[in-house]
Amino acid sequence: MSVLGTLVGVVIPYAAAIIFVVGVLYRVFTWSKSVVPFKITTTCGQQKSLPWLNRTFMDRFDSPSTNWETAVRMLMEVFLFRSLWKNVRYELPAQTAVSTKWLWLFALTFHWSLLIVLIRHFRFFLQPVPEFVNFIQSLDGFIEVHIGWFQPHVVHIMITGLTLLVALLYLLYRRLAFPRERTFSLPSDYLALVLLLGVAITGLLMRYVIPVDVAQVKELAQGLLSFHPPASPELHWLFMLHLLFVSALLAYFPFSKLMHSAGILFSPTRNMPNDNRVVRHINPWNYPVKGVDWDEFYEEFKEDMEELEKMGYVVKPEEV
Amino acid sequence: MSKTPLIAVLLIFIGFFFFPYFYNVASGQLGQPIPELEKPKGDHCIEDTKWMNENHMVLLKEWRDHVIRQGIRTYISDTYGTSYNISTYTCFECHQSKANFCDKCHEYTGVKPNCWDCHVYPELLQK
Repeated sequence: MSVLGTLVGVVIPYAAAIIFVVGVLYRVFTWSKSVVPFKITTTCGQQKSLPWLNRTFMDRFDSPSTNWETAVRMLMEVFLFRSLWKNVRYELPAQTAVSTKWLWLFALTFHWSLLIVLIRHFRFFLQPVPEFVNFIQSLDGFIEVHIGWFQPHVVHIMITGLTLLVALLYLLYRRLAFPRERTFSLPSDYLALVLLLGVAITGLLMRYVIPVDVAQVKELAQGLLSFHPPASPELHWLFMLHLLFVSALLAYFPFSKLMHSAGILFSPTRNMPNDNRVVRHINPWNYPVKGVDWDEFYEEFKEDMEELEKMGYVVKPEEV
Repeated sequence: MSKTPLIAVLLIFIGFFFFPYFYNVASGQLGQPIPELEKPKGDHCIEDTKWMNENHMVLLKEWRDHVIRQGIRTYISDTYGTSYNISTYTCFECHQSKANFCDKCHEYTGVKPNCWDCHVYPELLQK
């Protein structure tokens, strides 16, 4: 157990964390250097134009023309998944586009649950445990139920843990059972879901079925955080499995579609204001154009210029 | 590409992933081990110590339901085979301080049990 304990409890988490940090930073810096040749204006909504063209309230944020409106659009995307809200499915017999919000609902549930679960896990990483973590935990766990077939006693339910599992199961079901979604699903889509399901299921097992000693878990977390890890941590096998899943997820993160968490902020259709008619977008790929100034121009067409002046026209440089 | 997204990502990334490290350094308690508990009286707990570390909350909840809902007042230890009276006072015979025993681990791991909303605890008894 001791060699395995060192490997799973210390070596693999550190390696995964290093891969995660370096990988995410590398991808983010590469993206930030990428060239944006065009302003992407193909957004929804009526863009700001002539005053008699009516715009609805939401047009301001679906096709923003200022920076703060763009920021609001980005925040709506990150926190409310507005793009998924607009999801439609084309129904053939009726030949109409029907609004389908199931993906939006479960995707939103999954992401918010994951965020709250992550914040709840701060109790293992923060010492002393701050009040906001306790507060979120008490809000999350305000339901206490008795389910006879499951446990002989009353159980505190952490709502987000269960919604996380339900949402993940739906996202997997969607890829497996819907014909179109099944067609465009790649192995990497399933891998991300399976890793997340592994994390969620081992975590829920620890909470509801096989309790582990959380004080030891926190001691290991603190040891890892302070770079003085225990030589060979001997913890419950279920926690070790949980840690292994988390490490795998962290190490896989920079190479996978999970990078959409950073990528959303780099999306040109989300982070560029639609202000082509106001601000000129310079294409960095433009080759340098050597201009001609007024004196050179006059010199080149001297005869014509003088003839024009004789005819009574005013010949002078264009005022910029 | 403008640098705004990069700055936003770095702020969120550092804010979330490295926050625990900076927080613990600021509080001066980085790498805190499990706090020392007051050694309880008696030779052993009603079950194996390791099992109690992991399962005491399940046991206490079962005790509560046994007494309140089923009227069972005796508990027979799986490990030692001896019988115990189901009551918080049975715990208090050995664990004579809530502050030096229960609270230390619970504060360390951010657990807030609701036992003491109703039940009396040793410190109150001694007053």
